[in-house]
Amino acid sequence: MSRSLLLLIPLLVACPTVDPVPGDDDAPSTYTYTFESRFDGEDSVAYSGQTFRHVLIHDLKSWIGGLTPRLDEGWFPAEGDVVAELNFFLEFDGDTSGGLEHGITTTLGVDQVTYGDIASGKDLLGKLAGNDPVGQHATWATDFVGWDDPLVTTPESLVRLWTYQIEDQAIAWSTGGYPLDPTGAPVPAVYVTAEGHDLNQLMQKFLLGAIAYSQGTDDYLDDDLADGGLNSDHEAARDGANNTALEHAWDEGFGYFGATRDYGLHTDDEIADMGAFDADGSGSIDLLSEYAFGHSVNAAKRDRGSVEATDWTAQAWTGFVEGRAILAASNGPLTDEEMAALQLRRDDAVEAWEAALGATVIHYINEVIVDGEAIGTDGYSFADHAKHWSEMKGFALGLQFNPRSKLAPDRFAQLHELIGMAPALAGDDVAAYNADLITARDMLGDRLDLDPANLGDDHGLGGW
Amino acid sequence: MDSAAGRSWLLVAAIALIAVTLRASGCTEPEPVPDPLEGYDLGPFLTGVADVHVDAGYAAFRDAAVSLEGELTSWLETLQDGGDDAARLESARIAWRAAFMLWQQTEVLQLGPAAAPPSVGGEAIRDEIYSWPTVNDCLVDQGLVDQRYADADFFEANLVNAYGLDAIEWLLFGTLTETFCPSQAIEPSDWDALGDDGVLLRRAEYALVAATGIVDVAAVLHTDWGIDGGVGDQLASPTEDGLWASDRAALQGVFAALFYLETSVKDRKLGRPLGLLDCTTGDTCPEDFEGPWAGSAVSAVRANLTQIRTIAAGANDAPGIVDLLAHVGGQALGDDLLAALDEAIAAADAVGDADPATVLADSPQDLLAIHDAIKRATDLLKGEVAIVLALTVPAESAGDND
Repeated sequence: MSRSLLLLIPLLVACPTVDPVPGDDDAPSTYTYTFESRFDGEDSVAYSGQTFRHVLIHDLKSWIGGLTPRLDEGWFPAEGDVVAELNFFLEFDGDTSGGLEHGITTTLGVDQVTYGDIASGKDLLGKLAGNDPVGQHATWATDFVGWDDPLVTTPESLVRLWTYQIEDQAIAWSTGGYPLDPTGAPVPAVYVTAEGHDLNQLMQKFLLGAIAYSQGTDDYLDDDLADGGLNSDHEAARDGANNTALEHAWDEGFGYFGATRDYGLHTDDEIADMGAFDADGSGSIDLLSEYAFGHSVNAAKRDRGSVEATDWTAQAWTGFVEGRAILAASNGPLTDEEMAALQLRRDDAVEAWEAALGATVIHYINEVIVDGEAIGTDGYSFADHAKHWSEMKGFALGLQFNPRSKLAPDRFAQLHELIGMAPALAGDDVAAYNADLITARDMLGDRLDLDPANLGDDHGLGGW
Repeated sequence: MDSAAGRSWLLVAAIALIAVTLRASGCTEPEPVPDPLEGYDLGPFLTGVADVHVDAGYAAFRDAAVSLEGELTSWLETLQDGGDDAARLESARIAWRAAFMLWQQTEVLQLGPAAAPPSVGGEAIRDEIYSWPTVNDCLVDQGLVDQRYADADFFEANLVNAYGLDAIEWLLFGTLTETFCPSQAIEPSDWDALGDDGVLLRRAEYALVAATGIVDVAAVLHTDWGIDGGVGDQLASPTEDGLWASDRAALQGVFAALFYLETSVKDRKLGRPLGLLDCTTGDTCPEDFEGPWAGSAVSAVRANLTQIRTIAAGANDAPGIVDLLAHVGGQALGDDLLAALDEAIAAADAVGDADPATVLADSPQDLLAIHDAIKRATDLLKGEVAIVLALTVPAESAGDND
């Protein structure tokens, strides 16, 4: 009896929460990202590969996060061991590893237990900016900016550098060779360097930009190729599928944004705090439609944290849904008017995506300013300082991958000159560095048309 | 009304109260759930926890740590003098077991500085004394070879897995003159160069340094807890500017700490070796037992359980959890909780001092019996007890990892 009574609690206390697009009265014509196929009448939405890569990025972060206790409990890696395990995710081999369980869990459980249950034939590095050979607006072998290290020439070389740094620190850590923080104490985890890099945060945030944001904005939602992105075929069904190449490209852009299919039905708090919604009432979470990843969650966090209200969740959602509705309603190649309407929806979605990403960079700029001012006080945490700086830097690196960015390349370079290559720690000129961060924050806010009321004050407070 | 029926009606009343409250809030700003213990004086309960369970426990452990330090000193001196070191080693082992069991009793209530952040007032002092499951025997052997333990900044420059009761366990009960470290961790020639006598001498030196560190930390822990206005006083008499702002917040803190029974005892100490969760090396994971070298896994669980039971039942005239339940009409629920704990303790007694790894191999059902009885207790805690007393289950215990 007690179990059945417990199950009643949510029913007894449930409150109606139908807000199709939070904070926006102009709700889209459909409340879920579900569109009937013109070929078979079934749902034609498909972006399992994007979900798969979000899961890989999630699991890579979890693996790095679990490295410290592994070492502390007696793992003595030899040279190559750590890199090999990191490459499990970066160079994922579905043929050999598709049957393994992934690491996403929810309180309700998940429908897809193994990697192979989500998708097959996907990895991370293959879609890293510069590695996908078509459709990118820059030549990343020469145009990649933001990480000042002679070993880094491309996004992949930066990822590889971090893998070797993690391995080097892990081997040293296993024999008691701990990097020391400014007080002389061992750093809090093996992925934190003495200079204040949290390599786990840098890796994850950079991959969200160099894969999800890059692929979404510069590939699937772009229109610079004659037969790719928005110019993909919209006449015939893809082989073995019930959607067109254009519908699929749009879905893939949506998938990299990371929203659930009912994103617009949820409040910012729900998206930011829960992120998984059993929309079909099945009793478990379908990762392909009911779990919010990466950028879509951060958009909700920034909307929630704005002083002067923003609603990028609504703008992105509306753009994605209405754009997909245009595709679903057309029975063949788009007319010029339909394409123009589609591009407007794309522009709305990408603008909101960039604004949320920029606001997230500003959020962490403010955190780093606060951390810097706390140096020498009881409230200071080197672990937090390294984490915040690395989240700031990792997200900021991603801004260059959007071909429609409001941040011109010279401004992007200036942003990273100001952010620099490491936080100012005890003994450094923290005041000067914080002044640079404020300059970076104001410049970024100005270029992305962000409301100054949300940027924060000179102490990193009162804004995002 | 029988026990089950009584519990069900109590639960119906509690759920209805919650539902009515939330509905009454108009689905806007949820109002606080009414306190079913409104008007009940929690002072004696909180004082009992602070004084009987924690303060007395810290004092007893501190004294036991001093005894351990003394025995290790004797062992070291005997080794240096060439006397009967086997007898002194055995005495040191007995002292370690005594200290270890006392610590296992305090383990179950990690409140204030002993607890890890973000627990209220948490300073992770517990890890400085006993860092299991973060243990690394090979790291200790590395420190033995390069005599890291003799460095003036040993405790500052090394992590918690290099010292504490867990390190001493390896030094006293482990392979003694042998090491199993891979060559990337210790050059075999470096180890061999020490010779058996050299290794033993360094084990004694290392253990003594570690014990001295425990004595120092145990004294700080007890002082911080017990001095006037200390953490214990703040728990017993909460104030708005203290760690716990109210009696109810302090009760919630104690309740949350009890879930050590779920996450550590049931899941980590038993579930993992039994292969019920997070066991990746085979059907069972005997290497994941607590205290593997001293064979102390089940005795540690028993010590945890007996302490939890006294908190549940109350001790030295202080009320326990069951008294709080009885106040709100949950006498039967309290009885069920105690019965589950008694069943777990009896199952642990049945295993006794048998080597846990052998029991796991030969009669795993004996360990499973302990686990399952604990699960009955934790299911009550995070289910009906939490609802009836309107307490919050810690997030890491809200689900069931089984």
